[in-house]
Order: sequence, then C-alpha cells, then structure tokens
Amino acid sequence: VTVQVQAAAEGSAGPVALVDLLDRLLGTGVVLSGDVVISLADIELVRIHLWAVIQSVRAELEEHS
Amino acid sequence: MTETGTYVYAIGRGLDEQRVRGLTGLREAEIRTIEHRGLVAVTSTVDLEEFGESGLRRHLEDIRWLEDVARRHDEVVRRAAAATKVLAPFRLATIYRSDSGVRLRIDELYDELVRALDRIEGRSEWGIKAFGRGQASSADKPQSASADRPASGVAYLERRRAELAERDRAMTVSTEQASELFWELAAGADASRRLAPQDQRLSGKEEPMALNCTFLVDDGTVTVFFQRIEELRRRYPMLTIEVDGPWPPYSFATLEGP
Repeated sequence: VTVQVQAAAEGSAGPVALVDLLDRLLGTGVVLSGDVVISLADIELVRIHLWAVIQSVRAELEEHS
Repeated sequence: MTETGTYVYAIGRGLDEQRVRGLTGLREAEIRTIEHRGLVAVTSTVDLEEFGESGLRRHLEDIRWLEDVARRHDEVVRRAAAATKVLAPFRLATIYRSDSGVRLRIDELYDELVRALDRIEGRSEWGIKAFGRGQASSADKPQSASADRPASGVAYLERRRAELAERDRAMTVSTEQASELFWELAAGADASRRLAPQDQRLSGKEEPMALNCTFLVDDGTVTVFFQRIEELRRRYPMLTIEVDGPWPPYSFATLEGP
C-alpha cells in the first residue's frame, strides 16, 4: 500500500502514487455519466473529505507497507 | 440474487479480444467487452449493493475501498490499452444498469466519443510537478546551538520575521516560475491541464508544490518533450521538476456529456 506521493522515477514502472491516481480518476468532471450518477458537487465533497482521510490514515498505511 | 450493473472502464477502437480475455476487473469479475458501432466498451459486472448510488456514496469516503477500486480500475485500463489501437479511459465509477444502457449511451455520445478517441490516439499523458527549492519550513525545527541564539526576544522576532519574509519572496518567485514552466511545456504538448497543487501533507515533501499539471504528448515526440524538460530544469534551478508517466490519458478523454 502506497499513499506516499513520491513521483515514480522518470520512465520507471514504480507504483503509481494514490494521490496522483485520484487526481485523474476523480478529476474535475464526470466523463460519461452512467445510470448511477454521482454528481460533480458530490465528487468535490468526496475529494475534500478524502484528503482529510488520507492524512489521517497515512501514517498507519506506511506502517503496513 | 442481488441486482447487478455494468461498470465501464474505457471505450476504444481496434481492441484485440484475445488479449483482454482472462483479465479480471473489480471484485475479480471477468472483463467483458461490449461492441457497438465499431467502438468497444471494456466492462465488468458489479454488484449494485456495492456500486449503486447509495453504495458509492458510502464507499467513496473509505480510503481503502477507494484505493482498491482505483488501482484495479487503472490496471484494467492499462492492460486493455495495451491491447487496443486507441482507448479512452473513463473516470472512476461509471456504471449502467445493463449492457443495453451502455449501447444506448454510445449511440447518444457517438460523435463525441469518436472525437475524443481521435484526440488521444497515439498519445499519452505525462504529469509534471514542480517544487520550490529552499522553502522548507523552518518553523518546527529546534533552534540551533546556543552560540547563535539571539540575545533578546526582540532580536529573535526580527530574525524570525526576516526568515518568513524571505520564504514568502522565494515562494512568489517559484510560483511565477512554475507558471512560466507550465506555458513552456504546454507549447510542446498537444493538450495541457493544470491540477490543484497537492497539500504538503499529501505530497510528503519538505517544499510546497508550486505546480501540478499534466500534458498530452504524442508518443512520437516524447523525447523532444523530455529534452524540453531538461532545458527547463537548467533554466529554473530554483524549481525541482518531477515527471511521471506515461499515464492513460485520463485527463484528456473528457467528454462534455449532456
């Protein structure tokens, strides 16, 4: 488990940092909404909440990695 | 039997079926492809108890759940991309009630999907971050040896104020330089996007992140893009520049859906 944001060395195939992945996967908009729609505003709320969660569990995850 | 839905990871053109056979998606469900009008959706079946609206609302705030889903989503996208001529990755959690819902959506967004695929074909996404050098916070550091301890509280406060002013100045300079850096790189990319700088607690860096951005770069000119980064590193010695990628073009496959 890696929540560290150390960018993978250039061109290397190291594990992708979770924060970088979420930057892209949650993104700023719904790409193509399915039948199950989590609205943009909710996604933003999730992001904000999420950062708080990441901060709080980070140390714990590092212990396990 | 619980209700199920169809989770879409990506939509592409020219997918080699053989090479996605046996891939597993979320919760170890088999990856299935849905072909429609020359496009192919990479999907798997999910339980709506977990991936329905209330399930998602609940789970999206659970970091372990989110990490698990995000990593599997990314893995499926990357593997499918390797087996496809061009693939538009979807963001997290795009779910339909049925396969026919997926086809219907492809119909509705066909032109936009084709445009998105044309835009990203033969290109990859590269992330760039810049950090301001020498801006590590000294606030929490213990004061050094008593030899340079100021004689009075006033002297201490003055020194402290000077340190903070210097840090502010350095931060302003690096923010300006980071902005220049962005435009220099954007000039050599097919598309660009600025992301929110990550909080220092998330980045785990001593220095604040001055720039977080991402670029769509033609695979044929990626060495030129890297040369440009090298030049810019020399031009902006105050910035530490980090590159990561290639990413599936998550930031550039965006559709302006209705």
